[in-house]
Amino acid sequence: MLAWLVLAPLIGSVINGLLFASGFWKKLIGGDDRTERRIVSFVGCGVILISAILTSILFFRLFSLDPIQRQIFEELFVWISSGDFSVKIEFLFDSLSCVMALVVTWISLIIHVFSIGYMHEDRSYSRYFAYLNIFVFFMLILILGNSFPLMFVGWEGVGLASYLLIGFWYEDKEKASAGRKAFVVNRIGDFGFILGIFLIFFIFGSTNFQEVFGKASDPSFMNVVPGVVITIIALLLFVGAVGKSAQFPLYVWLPDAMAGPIPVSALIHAATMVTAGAYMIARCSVFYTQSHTAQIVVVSIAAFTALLAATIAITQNDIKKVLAYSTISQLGYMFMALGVGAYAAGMFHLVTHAFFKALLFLGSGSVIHALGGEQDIRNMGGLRKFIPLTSFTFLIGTLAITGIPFLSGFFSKDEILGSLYESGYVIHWIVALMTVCLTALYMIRLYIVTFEGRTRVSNNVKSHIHESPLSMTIPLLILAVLSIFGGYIGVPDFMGKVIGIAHSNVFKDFIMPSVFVKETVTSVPHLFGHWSITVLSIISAFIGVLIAIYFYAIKPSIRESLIKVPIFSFLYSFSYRKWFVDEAFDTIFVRPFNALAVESGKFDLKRIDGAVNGISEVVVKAATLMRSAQSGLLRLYAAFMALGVLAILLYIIYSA
Amino acid sequence: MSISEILRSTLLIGPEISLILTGIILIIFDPLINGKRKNELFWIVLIGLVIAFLLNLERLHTEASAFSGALSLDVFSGYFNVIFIISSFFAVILSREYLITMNLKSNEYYALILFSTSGMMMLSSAKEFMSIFLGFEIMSISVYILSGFNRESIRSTEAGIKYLILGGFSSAILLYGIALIYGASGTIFLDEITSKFDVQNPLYLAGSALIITGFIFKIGAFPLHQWVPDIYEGAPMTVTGFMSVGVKAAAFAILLRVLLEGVYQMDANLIYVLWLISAFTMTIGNLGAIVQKSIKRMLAYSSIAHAGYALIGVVATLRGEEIGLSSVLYYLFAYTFMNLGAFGVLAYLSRDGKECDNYEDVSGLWSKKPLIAIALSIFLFSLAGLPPTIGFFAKYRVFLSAIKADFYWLAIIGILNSVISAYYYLRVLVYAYMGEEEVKFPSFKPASAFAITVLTIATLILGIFPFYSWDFALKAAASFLPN
Repeated sequence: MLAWLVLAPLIGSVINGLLFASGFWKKLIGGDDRTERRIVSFVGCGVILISAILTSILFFRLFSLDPIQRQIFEELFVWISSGDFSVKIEFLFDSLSCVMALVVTWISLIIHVFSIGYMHEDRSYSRYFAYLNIFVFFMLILILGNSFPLMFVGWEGVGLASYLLIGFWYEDKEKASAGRKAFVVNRIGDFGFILGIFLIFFIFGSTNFQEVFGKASDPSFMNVVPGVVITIIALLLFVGAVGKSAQFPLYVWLPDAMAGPIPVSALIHAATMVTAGAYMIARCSVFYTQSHTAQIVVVSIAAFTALLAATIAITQNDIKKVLAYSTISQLGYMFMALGVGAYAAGMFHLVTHAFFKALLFLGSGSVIHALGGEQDIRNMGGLRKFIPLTSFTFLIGTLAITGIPFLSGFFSKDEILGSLYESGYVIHWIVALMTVCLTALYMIRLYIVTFEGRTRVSNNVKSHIHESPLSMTIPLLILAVLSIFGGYIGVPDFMGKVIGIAHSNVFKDFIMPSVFVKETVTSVPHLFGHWSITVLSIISAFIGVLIAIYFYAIKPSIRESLIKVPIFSFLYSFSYRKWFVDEAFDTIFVRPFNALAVESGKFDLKRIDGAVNGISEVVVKAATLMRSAQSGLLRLYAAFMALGVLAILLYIIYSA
Repeated sequence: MSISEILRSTLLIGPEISLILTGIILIIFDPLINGKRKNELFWIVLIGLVIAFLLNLERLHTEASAFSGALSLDVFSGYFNVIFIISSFFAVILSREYLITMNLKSNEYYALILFSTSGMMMLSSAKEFMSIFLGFEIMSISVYILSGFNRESIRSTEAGIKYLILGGFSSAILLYGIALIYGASGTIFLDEITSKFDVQNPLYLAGSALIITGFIFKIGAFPLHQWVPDIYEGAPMTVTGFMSVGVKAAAFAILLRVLLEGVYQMDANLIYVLWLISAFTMTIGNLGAIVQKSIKRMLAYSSIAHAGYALIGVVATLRGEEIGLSSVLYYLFAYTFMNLGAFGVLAYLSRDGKECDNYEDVSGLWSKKPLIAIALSIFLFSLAGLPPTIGFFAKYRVFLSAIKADFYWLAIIGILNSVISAYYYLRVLVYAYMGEEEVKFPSFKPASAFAITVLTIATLILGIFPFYSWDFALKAAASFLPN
């Protein structure tokens, strides 16, 4: 069943790609575009539905098992077998991969359906679905693979799908190069990841998850392995995660990745692929739990990323860019939790984030769709009256990410902040608290500028504004419901006690058997207790909300005059220009490498191509020479035969 | 030999008998049936081949000796018989419409293919020189006739006569070698020769050199390769396809048997002779293929090159590398599908008495016949040795066996040759996918289409899941290697 769940999207992709996108169907059968598109959508969404249903069935089967036995294996065949190195194509379905697979398949299904409406006018409709399906296939390989090499296959595969989809409108040079940027930046991370895999194989002699993690959690084995090796493994794997999950300093590809179609941004660059790094770290929890150094690095980079991205998001004017930076910032939260060993909290935020961020992206897609391609929020405003449903669901998403109590984001964020404080990372906790405030600020700003106030839409466009079709609004509604109630699967225990439920954090109890944690002794005394941490984060969220409402709804004039003050204008441009990181990268990496590439190109053209052409000329000359011996004359052939026989005969007799 | 021995042995060679009987039935019934229904005897050919295949399955797990040790019905011969039957099965199916297109008589043609196949099967199991020679000639004479089968065509007739004369030379050389060995040892049985073999005695050396040269001719390897392009080009397309896989495999089968069971002692020097032959064969085949303007002639040169690759495995086997033998066996198995497929596509595209021959003849294939274009690409990818096709795995095994036997240079030469070969194989695809000339293609041919489909799927599936067929080759090799 696991195999079919993985294979279904591949089959869909093959059908849509080889049969429709290649133009094969037209050539063989013909028929009009409408029927072809219907079949493409049916196949594209159908295979994902199959995957999603199979995942759910497996989930119930898993849930019925005893918590410590919650693992389902399925081995297909031996993929590589070479000396000591052997890799099986084997899938593992435990609580960790179950959660990921549920999120990936169901969110994918919703977004596939959304795409039917969003992409309906696109010329390359079938190519789009072929790519989207292959993405899901590789994502499932990544999640369900039971060994590092298999995970790496999925890891690279989703990178490929992401590259193809970012550059989906490749005729636009800028979009094509955004795809390339994502690909190149990700290579840096992948390099770290694969080095980590090599080191794991070198130390543990295997790449199978059970064998590696079994040895890594076995004290008698770990006593011989120097601690620094584990730290190095953990850090190398983290480099991979930094690339894929857009953490500092490799986050630069994600904002550019917004060049792809919106459903792609929602699915790949918000809800699923970018969270693969977080999943990988949770899967490899045994390394992080045993290396304090690695933990500090992870938490610090994550906290810095969260803050950095949040400050940039405040001033961006492109609706998708704001959401992209918000995604980076939220990924920072997940990594903070993973870094302190609160794997369940990180995974929980991953799930709720998938709900509300997919909702926000699809909502922005609906806005852009309504406005005929406009993405600049300065040209929006007052859209609530025109597209009420989109605006309402967007507001729900905004409130969920802001951390307003009792929506999904509130619970998961609270878990993370609590675990940061309890593990003694007080500075990081303060940074996270500031980020909560900033998050509220930029999200409420985004909502107000887009949907409230007087409209700034030109009259020309205004006459065309329309609410999106059902295939787009229904996914929005479903995601809105999930964004509101999705958090109740993981209500922190101390909150559950208030209403009289002892183990309200079902999610945590479900995840825990799959990760490796040490019993930690809390070094920081409970100054405030759980509730006070919760109250502090609520307060900081509300501060952000109030600032945003004050500056953007009540007194916009004050904001404009403030910007004129030198210090604020500097801060504004610092944020608007994204901390000048792109410029720095350009001078440090891009330009020197470009120069090097140009020089290598010249060398290649002159010397290497010269050598290659020289060789091919020699080959052709030799061939022509040989051809002259092939005269077609029988007596000549017979003579050659006789010579050949004589040569062999003489050689054998005289060398004996 | 007692009557009971003859009866017992006759029961054991069921596959051979079923082919010969089918051939005789064809010849008897052909004059009795008139008009279009003559073509329907085609089905009897297929039935005969299927029966032979089923009877041959017995050989894959038992070992028997027939006719007082003249034939050894072991897994090794059973393995080769699978190759022969597969290649004649598909050659027959591909010929059905091809013969009609080219206006050729079908039933004599099928009978000759069946006789030739029975000769190959005899060759693969022969353990003494009289049977070897007999099998060799049954196979060869049928193929001589098949090469000149298109009497209307000057080139085909020329090919038939050339093949007959040069083949006659090679048979003479072989026979002379047999005579020398017999003169020195007083026996024609391979295992007895092994025990008497004396490296100091020049009769043994000269005899085995001549015998091997006779087989080298049939393999089409350097320095006796020059007939190959002319004859492969002149012969009817499906005959060329059949010769290039069936006859070649049979020659390899007997070469391996004679080397490993007969003249195994004279290892060192023979290894270097074969090393040189292998390297030259690959290189000359590939160089020749580059400059061709005809796809058929290009494939003829490419078949020389492939004989060279397979010889790598023979060299490794002689060094005592166990994987070497199975890699040769596997290579020949893989080559059957991909080469027969490539010739099959060309046969499919032949039209109105004219063969699809030049590169221009496939121009624009993709836009008019996309499925055939895909099949052609898969066969050519496989011949070039690109994954995920069976050709990749086969080449990989052969090169690996060379490396394991410490023949690094041979492996390097093979890999370089493989790189060169990509050029001319992929050039066909450039024409097929990007060519813009107006070429007319024939309408749908069901039988050929079926054969091409099966061969395409086999080339792909066996390439993606090579291990089952590889195990088969390992088994055949293990049963044969002297311990």
